[in-house]
Amino acid sequence: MSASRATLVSTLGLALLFVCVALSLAAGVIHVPLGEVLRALRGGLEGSSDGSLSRTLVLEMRLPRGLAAASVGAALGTAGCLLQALLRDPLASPTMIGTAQASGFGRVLGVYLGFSFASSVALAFLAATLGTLLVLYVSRARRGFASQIVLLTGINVGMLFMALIGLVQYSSRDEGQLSRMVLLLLGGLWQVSWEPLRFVLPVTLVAVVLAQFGARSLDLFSLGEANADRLGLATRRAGPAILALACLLTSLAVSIAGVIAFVGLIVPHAARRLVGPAHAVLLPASAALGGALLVLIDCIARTAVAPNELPLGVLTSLVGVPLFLMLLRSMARRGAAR
Amino acid sequence: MRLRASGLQFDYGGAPVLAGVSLELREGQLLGLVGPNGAGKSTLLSCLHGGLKPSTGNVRLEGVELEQLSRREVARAIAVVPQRCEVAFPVSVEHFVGLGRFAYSRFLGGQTQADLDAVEVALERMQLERLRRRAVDQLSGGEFRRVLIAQALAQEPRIMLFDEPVQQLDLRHQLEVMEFAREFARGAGQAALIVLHDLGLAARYCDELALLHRGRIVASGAPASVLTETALGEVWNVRAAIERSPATGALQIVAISPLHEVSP
Repeated sequence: MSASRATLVSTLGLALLFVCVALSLAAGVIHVPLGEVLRALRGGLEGSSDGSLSRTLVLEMRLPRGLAAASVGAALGTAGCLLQALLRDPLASPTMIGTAQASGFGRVLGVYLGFSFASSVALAFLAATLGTLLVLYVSRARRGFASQIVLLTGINVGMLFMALIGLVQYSSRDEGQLSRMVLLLLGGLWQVSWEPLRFVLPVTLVAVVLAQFGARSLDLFSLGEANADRLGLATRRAGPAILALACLLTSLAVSIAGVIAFVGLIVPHAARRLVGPAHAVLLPASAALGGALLVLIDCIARTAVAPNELPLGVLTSLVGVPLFLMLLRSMARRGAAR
Repeated sequence: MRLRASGLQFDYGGAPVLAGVSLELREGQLLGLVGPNGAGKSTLLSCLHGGLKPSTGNVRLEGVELEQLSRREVARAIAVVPQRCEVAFPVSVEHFVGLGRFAYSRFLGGQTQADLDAVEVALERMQLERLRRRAVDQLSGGEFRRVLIAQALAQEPRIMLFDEPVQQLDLRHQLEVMEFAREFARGAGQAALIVLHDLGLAARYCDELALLHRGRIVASGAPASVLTETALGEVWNVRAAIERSPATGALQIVAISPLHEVSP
């Protein structure tokens, strides 16, 4: 895969994300014309404050939200891509194998224990890692992983963590805390502010870029561990590193948006159709498509039943399930017994 | 380059699969590894490139233990043509062959001119230029075998290990693969080991054979000294006739009937 094609895809992807976020700044109950959006952004950069409604709307509400959606989508798209290659399974994703639910548990436990945002992300990451390791321990074959077992174990471990989340919520005696937990896990971005983003955005960006360095290793992992090994990949080091990255990206996404299903599953497939399966182009394409998709769906969530909002997680499932079923149907027709 | 295994023992957590195997692959040599199903041939081949770690014994490449080398260093010297390679997300032939260059890649930076050249040479050598854009799941068995060999060639190895490379190939492709293996082994500083079920091909193309039976090398040397009617009876449990082919001058093994297994 030529480096220039990877650069081209990354650039186009960034442009797509930029356009989607820009559109999301204009869209909403109160329409802000693009010219005014740009004025507000420029004003924000220069630090001037005219206190206008559109400025507050754009800079304090829609911009953090658009960036959050982009970051969550990019994180989930990338995490899905990493997991699918590592497990050699087109049906793997952070939600399918329980990583997202485990992150959700860590995050909610953080709220329960009164942790700071960054500490709850760390707790989410820890829970995600433990949950995923449990799944992989159970489904580990002599070499590689047994696909059906990974997915079945993942569903079970996911349920285990949903039960643990229920337990934490049940133990909470503080109504404000409880409602924060419930809203957090419903899957949505309505409470996003700049505060958590100052942490999540740069870390997500670094993780997405780091994943890019693993592109060749992921190409090799797609051939199976024995084949990756014969071609010179130190699978014992690369595997855990890729897994850790997938867990980190998932916990970052879950920490601000809750458990959002199907993005991590569907986006890598869509990206594969667009740019092919080579990870040097697939990774940036998945990040960009995931980000763009979530920004657009979040716009719908904000505007469809205005002045109320639809939960983002509900919308992604409504969009994701039919696509997932189509994917399953095409796999069944090809006779891919998994 | 010379590859030497000594005292290899290996098990998958049950009965020993390799029970003390010693073997040497010398420069210029095409060594055939033969033996019945379950003898431990593929396991031995995996140990020979460090894909599996023997519980005792070691493998040395030019006198250096494989354990001392990184997986990349090993992959630059030893290439394996596996029996199977299931590709989860089918890439193009060109990309697949390019993955053979992984052992030469640096942390940052894409493909070098050397990478591109090596891939081109490999594609050309295996006559795959016309198929370069084809997805690897859209190939016939023979074509995919050539792609696997091309990937191994792109590694620019000194040693090639073939794991049953002629399985499911038609006659012409079988001969082509065997001729390629012999030609590779004759290259300067190079050598090859080939696992084979077809004893006729093994006898005809290999310089020497090693006969693996129940995890041990029970005979090795020139094909005529390894493939005897007694050996076929004891190891494969068949009554066989061994003749010289008037057409090729090589040994020709005709399995006549199964022998009733003598209880051990």
